[in-house]
Amino acid sequence: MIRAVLAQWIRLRRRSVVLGWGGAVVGFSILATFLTLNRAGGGTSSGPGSEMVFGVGQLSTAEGMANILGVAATFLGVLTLGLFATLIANEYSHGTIRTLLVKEPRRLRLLSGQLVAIAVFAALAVVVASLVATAVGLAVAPAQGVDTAAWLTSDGYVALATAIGNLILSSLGWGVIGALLAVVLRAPAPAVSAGLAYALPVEMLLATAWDDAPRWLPRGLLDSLAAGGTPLVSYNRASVLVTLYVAAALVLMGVLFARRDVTA
Amino acid sequence: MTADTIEPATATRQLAIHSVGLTKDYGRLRAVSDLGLEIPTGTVAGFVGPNGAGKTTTIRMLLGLIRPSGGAAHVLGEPISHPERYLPRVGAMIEGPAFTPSLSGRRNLAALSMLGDHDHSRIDALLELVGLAERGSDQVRSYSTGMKQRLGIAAALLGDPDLLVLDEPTNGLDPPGIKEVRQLLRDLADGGMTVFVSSHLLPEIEQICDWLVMIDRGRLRFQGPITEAIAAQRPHLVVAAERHDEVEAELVAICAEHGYPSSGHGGRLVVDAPLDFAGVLNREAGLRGITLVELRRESPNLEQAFFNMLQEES
Repeated sequence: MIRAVLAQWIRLRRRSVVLGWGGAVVGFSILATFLTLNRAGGGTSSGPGSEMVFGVGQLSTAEGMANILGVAATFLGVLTLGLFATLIANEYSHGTIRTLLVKEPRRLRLLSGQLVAIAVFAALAVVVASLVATAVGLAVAPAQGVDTAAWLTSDGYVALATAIGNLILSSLGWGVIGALLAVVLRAPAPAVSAGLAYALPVEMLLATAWDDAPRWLPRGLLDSLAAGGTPLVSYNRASVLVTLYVAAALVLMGVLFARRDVTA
Repeated sequence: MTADTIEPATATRQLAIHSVGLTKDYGRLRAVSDLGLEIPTGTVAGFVGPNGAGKTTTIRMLLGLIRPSGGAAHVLGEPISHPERYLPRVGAMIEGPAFTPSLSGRRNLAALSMLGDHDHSRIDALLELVGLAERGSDQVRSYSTGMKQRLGIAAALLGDPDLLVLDEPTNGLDPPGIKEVRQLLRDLADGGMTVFVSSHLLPEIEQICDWLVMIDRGRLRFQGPITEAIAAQRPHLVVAAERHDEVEAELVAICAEHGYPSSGHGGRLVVDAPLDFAGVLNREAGLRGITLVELRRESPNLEQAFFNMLQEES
């Protein structure tokens, strides 16, 4: 499988992916940091997304930067979904899947290698984006009245590392959904569209009709995982259910990828 | 019978590709039917047939990309149900070259070389071989169709394969490019490589191949030495007259009186008759006031063989 990982790594290191996707992740993380710090002065808020508004006091704790990163979780997740869906589905739309399978006919090894390489790339991008966002936060926070002294304590570092780890796990959960859609639909546009449609309006609508939706459905669980747990969904519950969802998605993806005829 | 059940004795080492009853159904449509292929090792085998004949489906089955609905096949002595056993010794370009467009040609080859565990040091030599040494660092999206085709051939040759399977390798190439590919394939075959090449360009197949497989509507129509396919065709006469359209019916009548069928093709009459009928035809046409401006013997070729075989079957 290591050859499949390295081969995919060679193909990932291209300008369109590194600058395009990586740039979007870093850019959005910076934007989320600015907006969160800007709104911090408001203290409380009402309306959609109000649970994501933090006051100056909350942001001045050791978990301050971790809270800011949590705000970006859903969008980073959707970007990661798009990355996995586009890269895997492009193998079908470009026809490269047939070339790859002639070089590595053990299909599960090929798919596993590709997923691992993309996951490592996505994780690295999330780490870089988080660190850049933290640097921006340190620079901008004082102007918004947020005291960053606690961020630079050992508790602050642990909170930041934990937040980045949870952000990576949450993003990779979204990525697996993107990969599954790519293998099922075998074309990038439908795969990304279906992923976006689910992540944004569909689960939000379900949540308005069913109070317990965030406790069972992927977006609610992945958001909880990224935030290190929420009042509605504990971290443990989110971890267990996300693991089950990911395992089911990987099995389904593996069966489809291994058994279906390659006509692309 | 399953894809594994050809007796080892018949899946001989002398056959690079061997199938018995190979079949592929897509729902009610039978794309490939009961195909029995025998491609001897070391030959350049041409795989021809009209569009939709089942060539690409057959090639995909042989490369493990699609599962047969029935029958058995071996490639390089290994069953096609286990492509991992023989694909490391097979180079292939299927239905046109496919690469990551935003990567350079060289990095596309590097990724494939890594995936196939091939010798990376061959990449530059292969780019040189297919005439892409100077464009190897450019993105594939900037390549012409012919350049992508050349890169596809280089990718297929990465592992120094024993069997090369090429689907329409001369698509998009200009005449000098076609000539180069032709020479390349001959050189590879002379070096002991078996080449299985599908093409619509029958004159190309005739020039480079020594073995022919012809299929139509999923069924095998001919398989054997290409010389045998051509030799089975009789030579014919090609006739043209002044004011040809006005007198063609009379020429047809003369041929028919002597028992030779004829048919019009592009302002000429093609007569299925031996060479000694030429004198008779010339004389009788003259007696009827018809002046022949062209009267020649045309040797049989693959194109003629192809159309005759298809006609016989239909």
